[in-house]
Amino acid sequence: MVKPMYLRAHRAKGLTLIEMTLVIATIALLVGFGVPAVRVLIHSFQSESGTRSMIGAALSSARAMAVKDRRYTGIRFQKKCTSKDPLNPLRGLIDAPQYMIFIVNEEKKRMGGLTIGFRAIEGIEPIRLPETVGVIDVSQIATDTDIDSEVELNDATAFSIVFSPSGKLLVHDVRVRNRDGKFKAANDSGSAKVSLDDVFNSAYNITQLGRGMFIQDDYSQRNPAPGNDPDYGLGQEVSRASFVMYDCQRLQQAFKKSTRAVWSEYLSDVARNAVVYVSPYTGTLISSH
Amino acid sequence: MANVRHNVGLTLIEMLVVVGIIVLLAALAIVMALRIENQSKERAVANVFALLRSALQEYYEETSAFPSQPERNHSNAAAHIGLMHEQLDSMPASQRVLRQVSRAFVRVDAGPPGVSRICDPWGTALDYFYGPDDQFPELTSAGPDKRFGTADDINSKNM
Repeated sequence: MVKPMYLRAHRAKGLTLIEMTLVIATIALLVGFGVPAVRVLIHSFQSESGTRSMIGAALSSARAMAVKDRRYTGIRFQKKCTSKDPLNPLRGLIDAPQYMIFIVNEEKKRMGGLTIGFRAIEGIEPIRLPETVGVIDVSQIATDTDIDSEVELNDATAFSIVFSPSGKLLVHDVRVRNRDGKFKAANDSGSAKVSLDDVFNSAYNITQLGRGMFIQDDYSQRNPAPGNDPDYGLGQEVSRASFVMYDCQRLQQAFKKSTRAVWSEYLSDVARNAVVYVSPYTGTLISSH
Repeated sequence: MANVRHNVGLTLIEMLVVVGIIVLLAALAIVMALRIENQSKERAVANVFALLRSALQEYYEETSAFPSQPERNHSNAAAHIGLMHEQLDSMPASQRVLRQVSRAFVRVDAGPPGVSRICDPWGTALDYFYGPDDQFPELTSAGPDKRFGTADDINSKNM
């Protein structure tokens, strides 16, 4: 007896539904693994060059303002204070966004006696850097122990680039304060220490009263006993002429590990290969690679 | 006979698998579409904020001040943003930037005086705040839930 055609051919040719499903699922799985990696790679290139041009544009407008207003003007990079705990204002610093703030040198008498006091320029909003890329000053870091705490991280991610009234990049001591020049402002303690500055303010005003975004320099040089006036890594510092751009995700991963070997695991490599210099005469960015 | 029935057509299990896959794909597509839509709306808010910020910056360059609006009460958001719009519109430099905000986001109320509100993509008016002690103004969108004071609010100070 001859079998009908459809019965004979059935087992020999074609794939079963199960086989097809398996094949498609495997392909989907492999693609699924590949796509995020490629996306991350593309994203990192895009955002790094984007961040560079953002910083370049900010530096050139700061330079223009310095010349126009005949004052020391610059850009300060600093991470926002997102903590609500007055005893630990640096809580969550590693995940906090980093900003560019336009700063200007202010007269001594309006800055509570600081000759090198800078404040945020009025009317210019701090500019947030992209979530994926940050900038860091590695000139003070040479080992892992130099960057294994929140204070050291804050010190490294907070730095300034300052232009002189003639438009030249210069190395100038910098201390940032609120616009009223109030040391350790505490708005609920009486009229002598009130500052409503919503850019730079004291750790107390930011964490407790929600006024201000960035912790100011409240370090007392007259009374520098340890623990007396914690500077949170934000004390007096000379302005910089170079910095390094880092990948936020990789820095976070290295910092959150128990070893905190940020330097040997990641930063030393970047510090060798990806230094960005600011041209002393034009204020433009020059890469080392 | 049993042999024939087994070889042609699909079993219940196979049908269920096929239907299951189709349902899964459809659900995935819907979720993706919703997410993309929300993302594009959030991006639209960021764009409107960026334009308004640069318009405000132009206004500041001319007058050395931002349009003043010291009332912190989100229920009057439409009036606040209308006031800001009117101020920015009165200055040629800021007007030029303001006009670049897509018409889809600007609602004009009828009849004199005719207040122009700038809305977010969800149709709620933005809120504008600038008090006497502030360095720069603050713009707020009520977010997808159209209610101010909730977690999904979008604030220009946080972006």
